[in-house]
Amino acid sequence: MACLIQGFVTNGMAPIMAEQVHNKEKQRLWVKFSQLPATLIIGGILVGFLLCIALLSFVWTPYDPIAMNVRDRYLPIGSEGYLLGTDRFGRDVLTQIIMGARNSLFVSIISTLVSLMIGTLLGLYVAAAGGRIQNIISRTIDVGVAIPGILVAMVLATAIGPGNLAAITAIIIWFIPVAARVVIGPAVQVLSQDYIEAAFGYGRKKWFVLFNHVLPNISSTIIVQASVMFAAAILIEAALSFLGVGAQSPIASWGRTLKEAQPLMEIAPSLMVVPGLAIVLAVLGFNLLGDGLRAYLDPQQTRKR
Amino acid sequence: MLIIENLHVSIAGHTVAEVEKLELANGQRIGFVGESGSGKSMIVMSILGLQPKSAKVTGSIKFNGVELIGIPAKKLADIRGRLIGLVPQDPTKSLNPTMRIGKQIAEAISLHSNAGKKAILRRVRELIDNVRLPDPDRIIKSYPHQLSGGQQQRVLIAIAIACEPKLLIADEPTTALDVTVQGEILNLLLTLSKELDMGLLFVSHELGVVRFVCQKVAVIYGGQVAEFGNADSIIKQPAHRYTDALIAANISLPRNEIEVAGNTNQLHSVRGSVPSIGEFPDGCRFRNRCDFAIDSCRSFVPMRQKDKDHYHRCCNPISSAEKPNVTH
Amino acid sequence: MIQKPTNLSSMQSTSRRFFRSHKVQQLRGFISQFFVLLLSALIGSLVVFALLRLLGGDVAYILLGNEATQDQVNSLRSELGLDRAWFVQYFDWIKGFFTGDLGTSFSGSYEIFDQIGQRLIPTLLLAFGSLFVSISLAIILGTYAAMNADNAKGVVTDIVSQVGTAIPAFWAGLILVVVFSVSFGWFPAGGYVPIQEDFWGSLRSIFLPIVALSLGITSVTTRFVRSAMLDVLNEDYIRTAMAKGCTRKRAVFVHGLRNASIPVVTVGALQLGNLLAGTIVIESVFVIPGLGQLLLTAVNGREVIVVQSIVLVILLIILVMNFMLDIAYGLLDPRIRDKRNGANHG
Repeated sequence: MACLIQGFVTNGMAPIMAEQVHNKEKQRLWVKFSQLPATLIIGGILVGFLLCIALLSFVWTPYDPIAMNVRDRYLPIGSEGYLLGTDRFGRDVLTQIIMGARNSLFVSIISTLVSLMIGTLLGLYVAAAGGRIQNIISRTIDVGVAIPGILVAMVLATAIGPGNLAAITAIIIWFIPVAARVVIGPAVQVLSQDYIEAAFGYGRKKWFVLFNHVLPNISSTIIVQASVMFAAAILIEAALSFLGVGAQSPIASWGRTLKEAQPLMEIAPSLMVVPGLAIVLAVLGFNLLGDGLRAYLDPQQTRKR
Repeated sequence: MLIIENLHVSIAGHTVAEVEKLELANGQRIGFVGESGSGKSMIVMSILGLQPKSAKVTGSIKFNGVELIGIPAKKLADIRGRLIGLVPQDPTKSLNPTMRIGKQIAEAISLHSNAGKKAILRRVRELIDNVRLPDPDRIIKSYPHQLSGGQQQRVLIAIAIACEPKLLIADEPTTALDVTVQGEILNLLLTLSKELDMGLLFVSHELGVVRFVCQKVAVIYGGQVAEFGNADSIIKQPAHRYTDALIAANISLPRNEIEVAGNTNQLHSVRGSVPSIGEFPDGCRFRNRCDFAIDSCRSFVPMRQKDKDHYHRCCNPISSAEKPNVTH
Repeated sequence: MIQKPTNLSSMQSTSRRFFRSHKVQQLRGFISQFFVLLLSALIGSLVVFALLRLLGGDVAYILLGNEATQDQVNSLRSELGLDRAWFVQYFDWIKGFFTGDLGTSFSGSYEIFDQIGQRLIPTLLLAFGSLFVSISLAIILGTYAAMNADNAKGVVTDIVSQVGTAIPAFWAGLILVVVFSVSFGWFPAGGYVPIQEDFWGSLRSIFLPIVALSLGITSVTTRFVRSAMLDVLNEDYIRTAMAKGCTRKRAVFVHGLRNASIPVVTVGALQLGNLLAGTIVIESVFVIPGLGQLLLTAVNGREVIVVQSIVLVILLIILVMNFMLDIAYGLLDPRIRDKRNGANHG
């Protein structure tokens, strides 16, 4: 994030002044940086790393993810040329992990964003509706929250066949009540404020108020929730792939890599460790990020967490 | 009975309360008066060791010769309830919402004696009667949320006096209650103190209330004792400017007892507001809000004696000329 | 003292007193909760049924493959009963639950109702066992973390529980198998010994699965218990307890625990979904012949009726657990009890 001041060819005080500004800004940034909660920093690093390697996978991977090289199979971690070893088909584990990261992020980002959009709209509507409608839909949402996502995925997979489409759709369906529920509480609280009444008083329409007054105020809650939902999506995507209901061959997925490693437990136990660790780090990263964002954006809430 | 010496309470490096010396004899009733944020609650909580975790307490608080600061937790737990009782401020939050009243009162007794269930039950009924609550059977079975605020406060008083302690600390016991109920609770506390020969440390922000209940008064501002003496003489002949301002601003004192420079019909208010922790001025804590501040107010003001049993720390106290003695 | 009714009017007032009495109110609350459960189950079954019918392609066509002729598809459809009107299919299905006959699987290899019945017990063992273990452990660990929030022990517990929430149950299961079964040989690597046959063997076979499943849920719940307990410890009534002479420890356990459990029960209800989801996955890892395994094979075989039946059963399990937690919630918090029963304040 350093600023580069380009294009100065003149002599004199200008370069020195530029240097001073540069250093002072660096100083200020560092002070700001060191005041951030630890969870935010660690989470941010993990997530950032994940994003980087996922994006990197579009242009380059250490090895071809599909190519099989039976000669070099079951190589342990730290072998020459294969940083994390190879699997049963001789494929580089590191490459598989990188591709798996891409798949996990792909699934979780799409499902989280879509369900957040729909869920937020639903939540806003319910919060503003009031009365019996609010009551009934709220109760329904409460019941909906308790339904396991995997079950929804199973049902969908039976109907439209296994694969990423089923997984994404299932996660969206599963997340919508969760997102709505998170939005309803704070939205109702904001709506009860006096300035909302004033806004309605001078003629603002319902959705205008919702978007311009309510939404900005609950945006921090939504952002924190988004991070947590990313984490949950990664977990469930891995579980679905593990069961064979998610990403199908040849799309690489951490869950499926683990499943393939299961029968090889006795021969090459290390094959099980790496994908699992990847899942843990990714989920941990998003969870910590969510915690850190909550602490950063909403310091009153933090109390003694 | 209770001797506080060089008490110093600080939070995050800022002094919250300072008491050089304060004594309370057996059976005596003393009031701590001050606005919110004056530190009076902090002083009082430190006696029982119930100050917030972030507060550092140094100095000496001796109760019947036993040093309370730094005392091991078990010994403190023994003293609490048995020798010193507490009536807390907000009755609606001070009772366990998931436990029946009878059990909560009984616990106060059983913690300090190994009497059998029947004896304890008898004592619980006795206590409920002492605090003038009707229908003991129903009360014993009730949960806190089924009682009114006044009733809850009586229960808390019952809990506090269960073991007939030598000292009862009442922290703003009537602040959260309706005015109509206030009088009953105050009467109750006064009666109990007299009947049980129990010392009373009454914390309040209302002078009128304190004057009704207590024999002596300590006026607290900025964590320091601004003035200390007999309740009557302090109110009739205050020395500290803050005390005077407090009396003038106090609606609960009858108007004909107060003469403030001829204005007896106006509602007085003290200029400015109580500064937060760490923002008090050096020297006299009150000097930024005082209309009579002089130069010597800028440096530390020690306690000085006005009369026997009447101390204050004002550089520019009210002289007898300003305030003629009001007889009634 | 209740007087013996001696005339009509006092008899009437006695019966009126009965119907307004506390116990009857409680019963009414109980029954209405139960109806909510049944209604939810009904709606759930409708939703599952509708989803499968609406979204699914022609099942017969998929089963037969691309080469199939229209006649073959049609005859398979009528064989499987998929050509009947939807509400007929629905009622037959629901009826099947009560008559004990849900038909045969599409593959023709098993009776659906019997299979579900057989596989119910291992799944229930796993689910309820993990629920019990998770909640118990979470209460202990969470309270410990809250009491030690300001020192190293509490911080360590916090970090451990944070990491624990990120560990997928199936990975935990795999690692546990590698360490405890393959390496140490203390526990079987998989399979399930029915509880009727060998009690201790059964427990041994279910031990690792329960541990694997409980890991994630305990972590999440522990964090909630810790937070709830910290909130409770700040409450005034804890101070009152200590002013009475309670030691901090006693105040926490006698006064704090019950109050902290209340929000935990609500959180536990939210975890039920994760619990059952995890059950399905764990059954796959440890090869336990439960409902989850059956569900998996059914999904792959496009067994619509099996899938909708199992999903409904699992939904029912969740609803029942929810119901139990609701009752627990009412038992723990007397304020809610009164609100539910509409009692008047005395």
